[in-house]
Amino acid sequence: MANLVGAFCTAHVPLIASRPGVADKKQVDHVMEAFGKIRARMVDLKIDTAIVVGDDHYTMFGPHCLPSMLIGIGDVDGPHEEWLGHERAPIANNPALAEHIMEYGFDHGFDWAVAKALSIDHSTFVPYLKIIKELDDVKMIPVYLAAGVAPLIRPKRCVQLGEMIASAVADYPGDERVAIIGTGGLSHWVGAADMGKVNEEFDHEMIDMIRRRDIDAMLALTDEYVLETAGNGAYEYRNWLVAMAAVKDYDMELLCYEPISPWVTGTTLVEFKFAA
Amino acid sequence: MSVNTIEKILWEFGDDPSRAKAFLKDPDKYLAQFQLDEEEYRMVRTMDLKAMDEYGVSNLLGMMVWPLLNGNNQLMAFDYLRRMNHGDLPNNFKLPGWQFRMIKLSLAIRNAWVGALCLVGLRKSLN
Repeated sequence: MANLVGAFCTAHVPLIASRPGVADKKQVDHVMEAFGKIRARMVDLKIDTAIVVGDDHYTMFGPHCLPSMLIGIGDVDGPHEEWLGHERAPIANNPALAEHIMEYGFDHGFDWAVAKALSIDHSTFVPYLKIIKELDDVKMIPVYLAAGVAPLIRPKRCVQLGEMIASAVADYPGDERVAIIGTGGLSHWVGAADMGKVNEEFDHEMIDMIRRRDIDAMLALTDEYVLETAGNGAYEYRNWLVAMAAVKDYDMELLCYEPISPWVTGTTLVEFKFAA
Repeated sequence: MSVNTIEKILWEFGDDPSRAKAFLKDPDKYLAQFQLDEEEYRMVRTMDLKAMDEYGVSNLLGMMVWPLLNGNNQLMAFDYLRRMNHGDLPNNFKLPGWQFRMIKLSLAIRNAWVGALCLVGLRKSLN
């Protein structure tokens, strides 16, 4: 059977791909070092497939169709956004495993939307660019949640999704070694009047909850509180919940935290090290 | 007639930039295809970002559309932020003081220049 052997969460700030240098060099270097640590761990763990959980920012999906959760089972390319400054190019998927996870989901109460061919936005492209693209033969299965555009997926459903994905991987007859990567920023106000503001207090509280794997505390957060305290971008903790829930017991290693106003985001990268 | 229609209009600009060009060429003709009430029509016609924000339009769309309609230059993000703050630009990006003052000055000069061009255009059309 396939094995889920790695779990990480990373920022997906588009400026990482387009203009990282607008931020302080020390902060940028710290983030890039953290991406390097994830790459090294992916090699150590012999990962061959990464399930990357992101959210659309009203670029891929429009008002005519807003999927609550979606899996890309076929051809993948990216980035969708020209302004990221990267030529759109093919990205290797693991279609057999992706289709298995899709079917397993259908059989276990997850009627998710399915993309047979998908152009990914920065939320999964940035982790692809900084982690997967630089490794040999690692494939990527993109998963998208409604964590940026309302109506938002319920956080409890994200927990259930993470648990289901872990079970689906374990149920797969292949010998893949799989990582799950939740993506997104902590506090950030995307396109709002407070854009650029970072709430470090909220960010540290969130990191503590993640460190303790205190899913109940995260589920108790209301959208109103998150919006007021940490901005519309902070809804992305939903993506992180999927990765957290996929690992029953972990020790979190904080790879970096930087409040980067020019990147308009509380930026953090972590690893969930599986408990023995 | 709803926030949903405004979001559809803005999203379609991003999905197909030729639509944004058609809007810029003849806004009234372009908007005639959509069901908008008077205030919604004004918000979109004038790209009143703050009004759309307060009406509940996704900030993701406002930020996506602004450079499409106004050019993606170094000042764009600051101009956007200024409009979202009722004309007052906060230093949310924590720029050094001199750099922040230069940006405010550049925005003021650019806006004066645009205003002058509008006045010239208005005089020509009246003549």
